[in-house]
Amino acid sequence: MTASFARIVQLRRPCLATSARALAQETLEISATPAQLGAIHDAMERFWRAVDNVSGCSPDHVWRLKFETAVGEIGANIARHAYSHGKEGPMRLRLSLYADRVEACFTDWGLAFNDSSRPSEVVGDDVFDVPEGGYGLAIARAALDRLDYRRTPRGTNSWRLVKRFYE
Amino acid sequence: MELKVENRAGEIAVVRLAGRLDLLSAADVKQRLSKAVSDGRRRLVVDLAEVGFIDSSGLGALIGGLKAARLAGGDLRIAGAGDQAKVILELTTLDRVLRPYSTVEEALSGY
Repeated sequence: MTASFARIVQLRRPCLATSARALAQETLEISATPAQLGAIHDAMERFWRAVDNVSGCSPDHVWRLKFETAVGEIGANIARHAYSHGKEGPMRLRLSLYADRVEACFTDWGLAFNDSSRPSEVVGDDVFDVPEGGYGLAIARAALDRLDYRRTPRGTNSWRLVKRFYE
Repeated sequence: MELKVENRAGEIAVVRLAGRLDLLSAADVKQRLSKAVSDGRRRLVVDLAEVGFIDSSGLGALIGGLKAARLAGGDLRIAGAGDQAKVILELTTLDRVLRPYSTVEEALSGY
């Protein structure tokens, strides 16, 4: 990994607020289908504009792209797996800015996520040894500081993605 | 996602993509890359300059196209990758098998 992509500290200066209350928030509810995934990126653009309006918060461009990439992977994972057998259902996304981090929380009402599959990894330079899929969760974990999944007692799936401004 | 194939001399095709290379578009892109190879264009340059976002499904389409090209004795090169494409290539270390070229012209040089 090159130095430019390894940078974590991105703020010109720290956010001023210190409370746990979200400083900026964007919410979205869409049908969990591949055709709707573009709406997640529209929501991200609105969220970054809101973040930029908070005094002192200006995360680095590449830092933002890592968070966006992780959010896109989890959104795609839900669109692909949550509602199977031709059924459609909703997913909800809430993007939040806090003093020390950004968070994305996904909720869906579909099947429980099965984490038994082994994530793909690139182990050599021979393309024929390289899987064509299965990278999504590994990408999200690598791009984030924290990725949590929880099946709630109410039968919903809850994903929490956290990326901190500081190591 | 828009996809245009420009045939060049010497079994080369430049495949220009525009839009989002993601779960929605990946299967079609993979199929179009494989078709270009089966049509005799076994050396591909995929221009990503107008691609705003790539996810793991999109990377899978490029890997699939690369495998099809290599099986035919050719290759697939990517050019013009933006910052987000470089981020996901580095996060997956797939830049080891899909080395980004700065421009289409650079990718075509010596192909």
